Amino acid sequence: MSNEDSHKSGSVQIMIEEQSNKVLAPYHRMMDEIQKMPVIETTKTVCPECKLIVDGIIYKDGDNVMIRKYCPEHQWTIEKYWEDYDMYMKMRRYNYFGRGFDNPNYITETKGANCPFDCGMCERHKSHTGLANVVVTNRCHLSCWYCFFYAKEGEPIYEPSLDELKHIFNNLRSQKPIPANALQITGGEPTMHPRIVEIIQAAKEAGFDQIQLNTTGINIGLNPELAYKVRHAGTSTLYMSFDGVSKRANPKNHWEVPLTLDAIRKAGMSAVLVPTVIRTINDHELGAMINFALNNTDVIRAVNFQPVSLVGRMPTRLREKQRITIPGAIKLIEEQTNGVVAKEDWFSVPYVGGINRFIEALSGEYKYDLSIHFACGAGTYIFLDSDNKVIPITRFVDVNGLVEHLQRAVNEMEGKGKLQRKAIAVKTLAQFKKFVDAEHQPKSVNFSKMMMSVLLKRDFASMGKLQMKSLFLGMMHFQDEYTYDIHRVEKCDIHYAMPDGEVLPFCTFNVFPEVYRDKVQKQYSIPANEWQSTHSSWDYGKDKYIRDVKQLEASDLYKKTYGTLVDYFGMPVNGGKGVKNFTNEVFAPAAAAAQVKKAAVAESESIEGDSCGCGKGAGSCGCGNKESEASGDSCGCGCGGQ
Amino acid sequence: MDHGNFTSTVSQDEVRKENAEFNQYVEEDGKKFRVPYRIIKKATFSNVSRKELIDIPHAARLQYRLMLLDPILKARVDFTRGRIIVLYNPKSSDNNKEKMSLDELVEILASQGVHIDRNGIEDIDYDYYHDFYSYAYQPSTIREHPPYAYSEDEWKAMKPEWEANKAKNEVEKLQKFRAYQQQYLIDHPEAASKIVEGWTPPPELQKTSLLGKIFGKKKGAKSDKGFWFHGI
Repeated sequence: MSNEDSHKSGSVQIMIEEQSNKVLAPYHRMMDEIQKMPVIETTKTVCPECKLIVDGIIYKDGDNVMIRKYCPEHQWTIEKYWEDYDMYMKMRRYNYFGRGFDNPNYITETKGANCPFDCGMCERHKSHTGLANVVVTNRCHLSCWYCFFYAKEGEPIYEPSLDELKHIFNNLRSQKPIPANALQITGGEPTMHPRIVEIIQAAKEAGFDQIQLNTTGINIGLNPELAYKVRHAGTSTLYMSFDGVSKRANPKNHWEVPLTLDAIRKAGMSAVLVPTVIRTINDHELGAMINFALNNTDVIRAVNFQPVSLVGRMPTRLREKQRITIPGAIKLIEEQTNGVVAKEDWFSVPYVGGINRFIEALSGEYKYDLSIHFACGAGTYIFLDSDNKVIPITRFVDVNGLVEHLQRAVNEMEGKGKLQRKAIAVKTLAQFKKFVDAEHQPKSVNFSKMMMSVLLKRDFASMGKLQMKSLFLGMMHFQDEYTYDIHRVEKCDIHYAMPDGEVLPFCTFNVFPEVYRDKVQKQYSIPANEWQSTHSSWDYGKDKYIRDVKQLEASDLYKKTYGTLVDYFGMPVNGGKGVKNFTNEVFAPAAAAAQVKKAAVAESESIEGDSCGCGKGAGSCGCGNKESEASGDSCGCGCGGQ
Repeated sequence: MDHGNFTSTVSQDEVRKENAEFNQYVEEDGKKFRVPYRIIKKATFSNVSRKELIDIPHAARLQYRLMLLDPILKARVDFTRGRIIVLYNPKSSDNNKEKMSLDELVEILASQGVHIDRNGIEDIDYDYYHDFYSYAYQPSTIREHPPYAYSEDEWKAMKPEWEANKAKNEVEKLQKFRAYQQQYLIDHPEAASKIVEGWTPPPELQKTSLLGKIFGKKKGAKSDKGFWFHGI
């Protein structure tokens, strides 16, 4: 066989594989076959190559919901939109338009005709700010290879002053009709800002109820005093990056997480784990991450999975392999939790809006809308009962029925007087119990009583108590140029406040950084030389964290955190069997130790020379180090190499 | 860019006289804010051929391409009106940011297939701080949404009471936060002096109830656990 023939047969082989692989097949059908598939809806999107606004056709391909778009210059782009048709149709029912801004920061004569390139939060936007993100610095102590959010050596530093940040906070709090009430302080690494404690306190004094600190947790773990300080200043939760239980899946902060959890435990603070889910990279550890959180429910309130947003240009095959959407992650969770957290247990974010609309209609006071697009987020609550049984909320509450019941009441209240509204509310609440199966609810929870106090007394502390007894599982899928859907963007409620006063939806800020995020931050940044002259003791290298893996792994805290996990999903009460990749690779019980060792050997063979455990292999992370003594660990993997 | 009714009458020369050396900060109520631009230029190109703009998606892409350029702060390509408005940092400005001239801008548009009629150009000074930055920080209210299930008339009657309650709530919230901070220091004596240097608990809060003595809990101490989606 000639070289050409073998090349041809290789290509044919790849084509056959792609067309028969369940994950890849929807990308590799003939166009005339695709065009015959049932269309669900149409939207506007962009060409990933040239950013021309084109029609996006959302269609059904077997179990998948796909989006296709055609650019006259760059032809077809096919992408997965949602990996479960039934779930898509179920969630879609609760989509609704919220209220945007009564005082938008940016007025366009064209009413946003050029959306998404007219952004600045215009009058066309349909949701108020649910969560406001404010970048306090672009400095970071890590240098993760995939991240473009931090200042590299010699690049301008964006680090607003305390007064400038107060200005931004007040801007967010003066939004009408609903001021931003939840704030995420982000970066770079926000704890690198020398006045981070004052910043948090200023945000609290500006009126934010919920303050999240989006961090790797490393600085807090290494400096437990900081945990007390940020908690005292008003931080509600750490929004902590956590990409897996193993070192391989989570090279960013695997070694420091035990320290961080210990520090926040002592400081009386809680954390939300935030895994970015990438197919083929860490999608096998979703169940393990939930189990890890259940093992630490005293400090972990939620796991908020973020299916990866493939922003930037990347090879098509890699994109197809790594793409995962919300239902894709949900299905894997079902598999990896032995069916304990099933597909049916999830609901989309706008469901919650139904409850808030009822309270608003009854009280006449504005409530948070949560009117985001149904495809952007999903969530559920799971309860860890006294007998170690894990119970999702949907097993004892008819969430769909309840939301529809409340919406009917809202419709009935329209145009009625105060007394009549109250009468409708009483009638509605009297029927409430039929949506709660008291027999199956966790022993520690009285859901009906808790909801009564939320709905009647607007006692949100009760909701807080519910959260104390449960673990919230969330999904938030940010868009990229391939999946872009303008209907989703205009309903976005996760916003970024920029230094020029404008406010942007997450998915314009980050998907088109060249015209929004990077452009404006560059305008307001301090050039590196000016920064150096005004911060004489500062040095780029000093900012970087150097990890001592050996020392961290030797600590009792590390061994306790990863070595003594209870397997809640493999327990007989759930009728389950063992979960793949579940047990920690290092501190597994003695019986499994040999198997773990064997797996570790196989792993190191498959990634040649990967002695540091970063998962990238020698040469790709550049460390080539057999020792873990860190010296200038710029890849952040803990290997100590450059 | 079309933020307010304000039309700048400040000329570039006057600004230069006032700021012989460009000052990157403005002062409001004694506080300094970094504002990188002052007087920039607003170029309006009218009577642009719609044939050259092609359609709304292509006009939007042209807008995107213009905004890719550092000296252009904002661009608006209005296909329907056949008009392009660009806020740009002119060569004459005294800041340290990237700059461009009107001729360069016209050339860039030509390279994108849009040929500008020189007679249809208006190139005026634009006060970035007053017309753009300040507006974005204090935008006008352009409409009003009543709460769900209420009409606008009902809302008008309810609004004064709601506003009074809102203001009261803000004050109470701040008081509650201060109380929380005090309590936090009491609950965490191991860290209190590091959080607030030299802190000692106030005498009235040093008392411990009988149950507290047994269970190690100070009087009045309570957990403060937040929830994501509070009402406002």
